[in-house]
Amino acid sequence: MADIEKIYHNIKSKAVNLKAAAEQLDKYPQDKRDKFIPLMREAAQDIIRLLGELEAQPRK
Amino acid sequence: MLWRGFIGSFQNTGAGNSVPYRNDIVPVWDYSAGFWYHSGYRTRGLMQKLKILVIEDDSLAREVMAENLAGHAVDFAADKAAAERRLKAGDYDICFVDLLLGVDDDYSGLKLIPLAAAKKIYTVVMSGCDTEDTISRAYALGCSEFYVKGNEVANIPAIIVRYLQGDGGKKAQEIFAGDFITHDPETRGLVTEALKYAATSLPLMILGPSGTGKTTLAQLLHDHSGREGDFVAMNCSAYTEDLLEAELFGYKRGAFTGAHENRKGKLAQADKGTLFLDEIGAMSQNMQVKLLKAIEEKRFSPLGSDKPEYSDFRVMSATLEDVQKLLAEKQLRFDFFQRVHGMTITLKPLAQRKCDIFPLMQALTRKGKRLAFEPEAREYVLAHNWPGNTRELKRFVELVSAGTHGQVTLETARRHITPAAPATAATGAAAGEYYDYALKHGLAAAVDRLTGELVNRSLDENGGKRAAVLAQLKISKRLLYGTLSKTRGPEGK
Repeated sequence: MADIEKIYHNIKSKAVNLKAAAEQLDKYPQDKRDKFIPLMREAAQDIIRLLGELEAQPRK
Repeated sequence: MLWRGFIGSFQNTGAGNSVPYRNDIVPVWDYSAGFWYHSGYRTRGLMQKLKILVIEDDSLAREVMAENLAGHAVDFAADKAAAERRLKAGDYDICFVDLLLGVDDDYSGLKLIPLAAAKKIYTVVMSGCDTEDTISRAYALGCSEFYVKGNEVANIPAIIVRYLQGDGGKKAQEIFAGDFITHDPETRGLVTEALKYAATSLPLMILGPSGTGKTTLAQLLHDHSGREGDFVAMNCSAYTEDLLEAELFGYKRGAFTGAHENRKGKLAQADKGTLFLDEIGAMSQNMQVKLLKAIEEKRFSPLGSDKPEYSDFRVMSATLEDVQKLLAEKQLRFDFFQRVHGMTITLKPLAQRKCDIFPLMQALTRKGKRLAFEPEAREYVLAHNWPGNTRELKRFVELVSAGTHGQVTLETARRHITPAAPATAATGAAAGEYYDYALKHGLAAAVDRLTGELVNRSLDENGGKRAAVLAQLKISKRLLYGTLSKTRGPEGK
């Protein structure tokens, strides 16, 4: 798989994981929320990084 | 507190707790009690704890999966090497696989599918990548289901239900060797298909001649439905209209002469369970309208009461008659049929699945005297068409068991099996007589005469029991009473 496809795949994957977590967050007890939020922040930062990589790709 | 993190709408019971509308059945984890149960109803046999492996490199996704799989024994593997170790060492029921395991990974999840499939693990791909090529490759490598990530809350419970219903074929083998004995591939396929619908609230209609196992199948489907209520069966042809109404809806004391006490009807008895209506074609149009309303609203009033009662019953029905004919002749209302037919299963007569004759006999003698058939006797038994199906087979087994030491000779088999009447000189003479009658009075009158003779003979042989005549001659109630009215006059009805 070309690098650009992997980037797209990873963005999509990270975004759906983030969405799935966000949708359930309000149902979790506080201790679980505390565990999830840093992981969600990490996923969000990964998405930002991946978007940066996408921008750095040579333009068609 | 119950966590109900799955799709589905809810209705308020008014008792402070809500229950899902029964448009779907999914497993729900009860945090307080610590077990899984089917949504809507707690199962009698609680959902088993499964061993699950989740192969996922993303830590957030692993946590989301852990939440959705709470209550099961879940292991995680974050990369290919760890996954291989786990798969080789563990004995998992289900394996969820992500395809890309790491930023620079090259679909190593795909390479794990054959390993999991070889160990007969139910392998489910959950990936962000859903190109046609990837999906085809995953299925070709042996994955059982493929999902795009993002709707785990709904998808995971559904996957678990499907796994438990299929159970890798183990459950089906047990069923076909015990609860519903059949070696016929077509019948096995039908029953397996029907079992997929067991845990839904959809109505089911079972068709087939008398003695083909319609009630047994209905009971089996109820047993696998997860419904905590009872299986309540009733034969509609065994009751007059008034009695059927009282039997179905129940009655209050004083509702009619002889109603000395309140009585719960079948609808109420089947609350949270299954109501099985056998010989549904024998039900009058009037009754069909009343029952239709009760099925639709899950609400009814017992006779002598204007206070409605509620019952959450699932309907299964059966008939040995031709449903299309019943509809065409307006014996079965179309709107009623729409409410009860849902999934339709047609069971074959024993004559078309002779491979089941000896396994059924084995089962019938399991707790009693075992029978050994001489080769000629075996051939004779197999040559017979068993028009009475399992009922006839059961009677044969009882007769043979009582009259022999267990060794069944050709003579014994012949003695207890009544072959279909061949065209003899006598029957030829009878046909000639009817031919003459038809020439003189018309074919319809000759058919009426023959019908009358057969119905009256069956009635005499069954000691006047009309329900037995309906079942034995496989005729509708309308035909029975019409014939009796013609041959015995209105009072003979």
